[in-house]
Amino acid sequence: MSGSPVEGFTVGFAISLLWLMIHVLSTYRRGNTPGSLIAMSVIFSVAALYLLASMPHESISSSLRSLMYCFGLTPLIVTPFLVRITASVSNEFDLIAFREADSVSDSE
Amino acid sequence: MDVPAARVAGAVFLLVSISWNRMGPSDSRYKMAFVIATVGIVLVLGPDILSPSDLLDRFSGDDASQDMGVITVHFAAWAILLSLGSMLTIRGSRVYGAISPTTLIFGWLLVISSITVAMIFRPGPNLLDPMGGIFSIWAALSAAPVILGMIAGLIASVAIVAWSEYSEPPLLPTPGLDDEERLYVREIVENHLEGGLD
Repeated sequence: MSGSPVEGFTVGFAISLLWLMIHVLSTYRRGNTPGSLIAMSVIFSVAALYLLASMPHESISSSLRSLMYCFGLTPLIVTPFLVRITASVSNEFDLIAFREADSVSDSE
Repeated sequence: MDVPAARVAGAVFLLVSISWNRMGPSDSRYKMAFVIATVGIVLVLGPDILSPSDLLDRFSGDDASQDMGVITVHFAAWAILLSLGSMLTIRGSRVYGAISPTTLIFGWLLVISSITVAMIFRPGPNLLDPMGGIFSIWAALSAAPVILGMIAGLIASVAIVAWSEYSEPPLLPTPGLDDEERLYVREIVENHLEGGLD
């Protein structure tokens, strides 16, 4: 289904770096976002895009297809966490629980 | 714009919407996150959803497992069901307030539907083939190099962020609040305590 393992690895590596660049550029704040972070993320992303451009189109699309099939396991992975939340009896935002926690911290 | 370019643009919009949503209500971009996400979903799914009769034929065709449009719609179907189901399950549980059996049941129905769509309902000539769903786990394992690449990329991203933060000169200490600011903060805290804990 997928291309060679090296090509699959390159596609995955490029996805993460492109995501970093998109995140850094879209959340840019003057004075808060370091210039070196923008420069490094853009340089690495351009390098990743260059690697992707040198790969056959079919390898990239088959790697993406494999990834999407793999993500199909997500509902099974999430289910135990949802079962735990459903079975949980604690209430994180209960005012009584807040007061009890407050009184415990006061007594300490 | 051709279909693959529209899908790539839609994926970029979806990633931007996640980042903007994480910026919080204090930033004006937060308000645009939902709009951008909607545009992204339309761009990713629009070309396939707009021709439903053709899509149904492609879903049951021999090449369905290789058709990026079919796989994207299949992916979106279980992902949306899982997102809504998880949201309702968490809302209906005891964690965020009083337990709501109706919300919980509806949420779990959506989660089970998501598992069914992802694992049993597979694009191809046999749409409802449980063995096809089990086989898909093995097909999904072929994505291991891609996942390893993503993990390596994530490690590289963390290294880039850490390096850029360490290389920046340290910020000067923040000056303390003046009297007006101190009164303003005190007023907010008092209002919240009086309104919430009494």
